Amino acid sequence: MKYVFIYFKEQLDNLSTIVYISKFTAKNNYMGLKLGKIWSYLEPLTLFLVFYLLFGVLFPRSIPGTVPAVPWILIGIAIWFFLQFTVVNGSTSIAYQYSYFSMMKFPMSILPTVQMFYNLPVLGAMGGATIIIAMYDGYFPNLYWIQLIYYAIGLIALVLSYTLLCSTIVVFFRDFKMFLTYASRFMMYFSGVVFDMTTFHIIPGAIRQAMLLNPVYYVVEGFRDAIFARQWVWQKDWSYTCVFWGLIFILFVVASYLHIKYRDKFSDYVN
Amino acid sequence: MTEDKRLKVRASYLTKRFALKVNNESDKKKFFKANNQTFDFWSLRNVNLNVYDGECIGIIGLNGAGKSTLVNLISEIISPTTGNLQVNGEVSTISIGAGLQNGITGRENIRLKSLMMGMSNKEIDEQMDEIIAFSELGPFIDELVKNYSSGMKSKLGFSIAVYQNPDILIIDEALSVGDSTFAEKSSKKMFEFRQQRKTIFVVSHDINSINKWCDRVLWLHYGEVKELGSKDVVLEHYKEFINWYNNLSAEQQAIYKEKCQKEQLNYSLLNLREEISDTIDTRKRSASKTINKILDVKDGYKLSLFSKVMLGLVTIIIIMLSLIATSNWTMQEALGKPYEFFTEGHLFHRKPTFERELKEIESSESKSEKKTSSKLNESTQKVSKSSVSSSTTSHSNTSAQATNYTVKAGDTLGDIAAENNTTVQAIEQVNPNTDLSVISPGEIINLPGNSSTTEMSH
Repeated sequence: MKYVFIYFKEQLDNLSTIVYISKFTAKNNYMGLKLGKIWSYLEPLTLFLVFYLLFGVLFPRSIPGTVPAVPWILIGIAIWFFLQFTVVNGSTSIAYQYSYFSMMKFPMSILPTVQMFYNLPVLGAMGGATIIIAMYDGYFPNLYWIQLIYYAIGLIALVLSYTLLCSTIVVFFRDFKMFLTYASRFMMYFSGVVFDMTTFHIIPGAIRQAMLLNPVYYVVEGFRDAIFARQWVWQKDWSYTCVFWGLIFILFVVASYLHIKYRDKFSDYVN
Repeated sequence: MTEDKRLKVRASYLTKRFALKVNNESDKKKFFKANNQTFDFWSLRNVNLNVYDGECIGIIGLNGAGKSTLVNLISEIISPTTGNLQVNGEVSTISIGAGLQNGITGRENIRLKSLMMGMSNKEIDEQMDEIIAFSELGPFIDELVKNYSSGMKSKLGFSIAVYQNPDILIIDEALSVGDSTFAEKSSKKMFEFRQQRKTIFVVSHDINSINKWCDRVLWLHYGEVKELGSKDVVLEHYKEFINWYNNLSAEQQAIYKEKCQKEQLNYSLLNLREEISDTIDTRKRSASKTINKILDVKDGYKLSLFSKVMLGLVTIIIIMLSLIATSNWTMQEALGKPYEFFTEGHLFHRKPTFERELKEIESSESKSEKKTSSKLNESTQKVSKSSVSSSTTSHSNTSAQATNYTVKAGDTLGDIAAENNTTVQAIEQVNPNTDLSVISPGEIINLPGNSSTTEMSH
């Protein structure tokens, strides 16, 4: 528990550094490209178009309820891209960037957070687009939208804890990055991002219920609950909420402990 | 220790071991193999060092003597294998191009490095012009660092580090790149530092510059401290050694090098133990205890008991809640009767309230309906649609008493029963052939016939 507090203190102390590094990460990534950072918006947008054609136009039955397809898919893609990019890039952030930052005393735990901040504007832009399209479809601002703050905090907590854990593992075991990349492609379809598996009656009811335990599902559906004014968080089955925060707690405790325990030894493994 | 000689760095019995791989074995093999084929390389062996404020220590030695390892240890980039290292104060390191990001401009690098050293944006704004002026980069400050020459990089690195106001400054062979005018300027700055009683470490092969700046010199020789003392003595010995070495034939040089490197490889904790026992009084009873204490390198990071208990507790709660989530009971029911929950076979069943429906797009049909009844909301559309279908199938119904009901979106069996003043059991009785645990919208079920006021009347 002590280590979780140390971790959060390091994040808060270095907040201005985090924001600054995340700014020039974009510059580094898109060096020499004319469109620059616009590419980081174009990638999720192209994927959105593909999935909209597939599940919004060709197989429209896969979207539950009476919700319009475009904002429903868009918010899913936005969250998924934020999560995937942060986790996959953040997991290698320590292993790859160690040499840049090692020449000074500097907490390595902020590197995954840098990735999170780097991807935050894309999530914000796509989330904003979703809200505008939802308003066009007749979902006007209402009290339910307050929940967006709650679910955004949940999403960030999930991303940070998971990325911290992965980044520590990747230092010692590089192959884990490849595993993460492939697993995330696979998990996309089980997380209710582009279609809702829990509506498929082919799958036994118990399994469909179990799918909702997936923390990504919790967050994605939460965002949709808020935008489409479906339900309040306390109207959900409480067990899902408790499991979500319980998982976050475990992730934070384990990740910060492992990170702080092994960060003295990073230099022996990173070259 | 007197007051004007505060201890800045203290190293005792410091060693650093690196594990080197024997051949090009992949990391995968290393990961799975328990006793992987590595050999230990002792980059530093039993280094003892006390440095006070206001001192300038020169570190000399051949390549691979462990100079950079020692400097990295002091700046806390790597951790020692054994021994105790105490560093009092902020450390700032300058080495060629290190810590400079290639993809951004010099100005941005100044801000970045200063931020990382813990300065605020306001402080940086105040110092920015001074740093740029000191670096002599002029208009190049807004160029990308990757286009800089090595001299420019070194100038920039030095300027940034100097303005961090560090307590301990480490210069790792960085000044050999700058031209003599800049070297003059930086040496002035360093003397200024010494007057402010800051500690400086200079790593260099250049004996002249060490002679100019430092008062004490540490001579590292293949991981060992060969000599530590005033600069005149050590530098004289070092020069003698270099001369002696250079006069050897190439063959002899190779043999000598191999011999020294072998020592570094064959070193072990046992040797260190012997060396320590030479330095302390072994006649004392507590001697072996002291040695063990020195050699014992525990890492101080352990999960507290409280954290472990919390972890366990949360794990159990998560498992319990996951079971509830996949059962057909709600949380209140399951927590109210935990025993029945596990014994009566509620696990892994769908909840009666769990129904998520798909979007109904019967394309053209529903669209045309939408046009005619654009004011109606979605649910009434569905009722009207399903009422059509129920009327077509009602004739096939065998039960005279029963009425039909078409399941709507979001309906559960309980809802239907409540709406029609019956019970779930009664509905199940009149539907012997249907599996009511899975009801989907549009499905037609029979209702017990006492209710005459269903919404299905058309």
